[in-house]
Amino acid sequence: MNRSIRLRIALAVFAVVVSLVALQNVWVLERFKHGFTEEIDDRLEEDLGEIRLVLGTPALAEWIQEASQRQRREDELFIEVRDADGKIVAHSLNVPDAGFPGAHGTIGPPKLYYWEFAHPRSRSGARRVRALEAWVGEYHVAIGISLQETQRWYWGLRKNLATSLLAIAVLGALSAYWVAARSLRPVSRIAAQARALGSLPDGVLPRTGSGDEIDRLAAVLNDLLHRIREEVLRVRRLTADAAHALRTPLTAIRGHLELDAAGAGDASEPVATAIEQVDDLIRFVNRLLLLEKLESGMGEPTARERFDLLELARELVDHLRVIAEEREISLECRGESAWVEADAVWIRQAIVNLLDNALRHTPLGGKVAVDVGTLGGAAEISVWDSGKGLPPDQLERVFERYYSTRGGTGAGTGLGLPIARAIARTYGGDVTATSPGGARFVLRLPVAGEAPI
Amino acid sequence: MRVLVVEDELRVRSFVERGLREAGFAVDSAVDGEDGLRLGLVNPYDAIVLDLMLPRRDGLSVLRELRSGGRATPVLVLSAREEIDDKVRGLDAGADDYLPKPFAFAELLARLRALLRRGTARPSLLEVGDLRVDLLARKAERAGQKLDLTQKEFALLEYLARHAGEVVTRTMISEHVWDMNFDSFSNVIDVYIRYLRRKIDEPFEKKLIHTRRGVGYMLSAAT
Repeated sequence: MNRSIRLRIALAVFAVVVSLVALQNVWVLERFKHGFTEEIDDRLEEDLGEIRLVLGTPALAEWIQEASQRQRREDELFIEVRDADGKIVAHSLNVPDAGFPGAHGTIGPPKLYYWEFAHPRSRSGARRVRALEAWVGEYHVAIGISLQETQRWYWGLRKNLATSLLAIAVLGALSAYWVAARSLRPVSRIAAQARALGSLPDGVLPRTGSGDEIDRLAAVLNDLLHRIREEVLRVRRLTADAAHALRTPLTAIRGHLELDAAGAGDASEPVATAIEQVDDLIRFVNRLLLLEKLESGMGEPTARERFDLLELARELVDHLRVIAEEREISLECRGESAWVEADAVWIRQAIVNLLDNALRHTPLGGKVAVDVGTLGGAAEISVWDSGKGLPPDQLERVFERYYSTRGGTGAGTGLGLPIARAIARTYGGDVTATSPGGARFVLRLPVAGEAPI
Repeated sequence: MRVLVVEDELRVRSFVERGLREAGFAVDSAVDGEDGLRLGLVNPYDAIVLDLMLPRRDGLSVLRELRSGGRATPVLVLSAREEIDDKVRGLDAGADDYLPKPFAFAELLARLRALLRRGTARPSLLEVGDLRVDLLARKAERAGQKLDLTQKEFALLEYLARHAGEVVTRTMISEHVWDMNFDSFSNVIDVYIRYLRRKIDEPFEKKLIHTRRGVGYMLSAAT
């Protein structure tokens, strides 16, 4: 089926116009035919009246001659007069030898009918004639008028009507298409804008201001977006508030556990486990608050310095090399200098999150490759692991909070990748995922040009 | 040693007080800024632990008043982690160190001790049991046997030896030995501790590196 509303509307308009105009044309043609027949019948009556005057007189032959020649060839007049025995008394020369077909009937009222016969002087052969026969005294008179002219008109009209029908329908369909396309243009704009909206729908859909249905729909959707945004922000605020509120009791719990443990020399197993669990909670709360701060725009870049991503990457790779070695993972860093301007502390955190993620999801004996370079005005660092990769539907979802289904070693909090992305976005960049074999995460930042020497 | 703790949160104050007392400090405490400032100006404390978010008078103001009142007492500021700005402002206002909340008590203790030690001469040779760490030659030996350490391993050992007998947390190690304070799942420190153990403790019967689970590590000759 067709998926374009514009085309569907145009086709519908075409079909409707064709049927309506066709119906109207049929009516017009019928009226035309009817009108013409009436006119011809009147003339036949008239001629019958005239012939009545000369019937039975020597003037008959002369009248017939004159009358049949008076007419133009197209509406030729045919006349035939018989006596009571059916014998032809007089006739115009154009009447065929067999005479009129019904001209020997019994006495009755005058009769109108159509008559078709092969005309010797007609190129097309067949000729259609409107005929009137009537008894005038003891004579049987038959008069016919050729319909050739009428038919010519009729066919001409029919042809013109058909042509205009097609033209009207095509024009109608085209204008319908144009109007539909014009009215639906805001829909494409709305769709494009909506597609660009993130998981936190900030921004509004474009309105035409015309107040039409689409404009009203856009208004309703904007209202909906606003409410969703408010709700998302409310939930986030709630989470942040909860995280905030958790910190003091967590600190206190941790402090008391620690003091108990220290008092006993070394912590007992349950106390040590409890401390570790509290530490996990504290880490989680800290990450959540960090993400909250970044995403709410509070993490405005404070310090900006110019540094080389490659240098930073090398430093971090060296730092984490022991972790890779523990798991027999080959960890490589290569590429070219890529200067950026940002807060190195934050970018370092973002890259560490990507490296942590890669190391956790690479099997024993696998490989993690870090590439640095510039591409089209962006400084790029990509972290590529030899893990099992990501299915296409998860490439975006891994950046959602708490989304963690990759089943790597050591459970993450599901906040590392969202934090990396939020940091990159704070500095005008982004983090995206692809899965060419293993998973590949690319952090991009606006390039800052060459370092001043 | 006499320490003043200015903290309005009872839950935090209670364990800090208790912990410091157990560690052998004499502890006074104040629950708001005015009270803290009054005590700080009146008594000659060896150190002050100061929260930033306080009722009646905020921590920064207390700090400024103390300094303008001529008190050079070392001050350790406590504050919520996200107040990075406060860290800078806190140090400008005369704080000597800064500890983000939530914190481990061991870390508070270690930082406090570091503040109190400040200004005392640093020896160039550290000895822990039969382990000798020569900071000038950057060499270490145990029971007369030379230890073959990488740079990182030596730096870690140096830090542990400087704080011999005290528990140091992973955060402290990563800040001071690696100069990298970031949040990571990958525990690089544990790996280096393992490397260090292999060289320092494995060949010997007496173990010097102790793990305080949930807290950190300690280098100590005592058992």
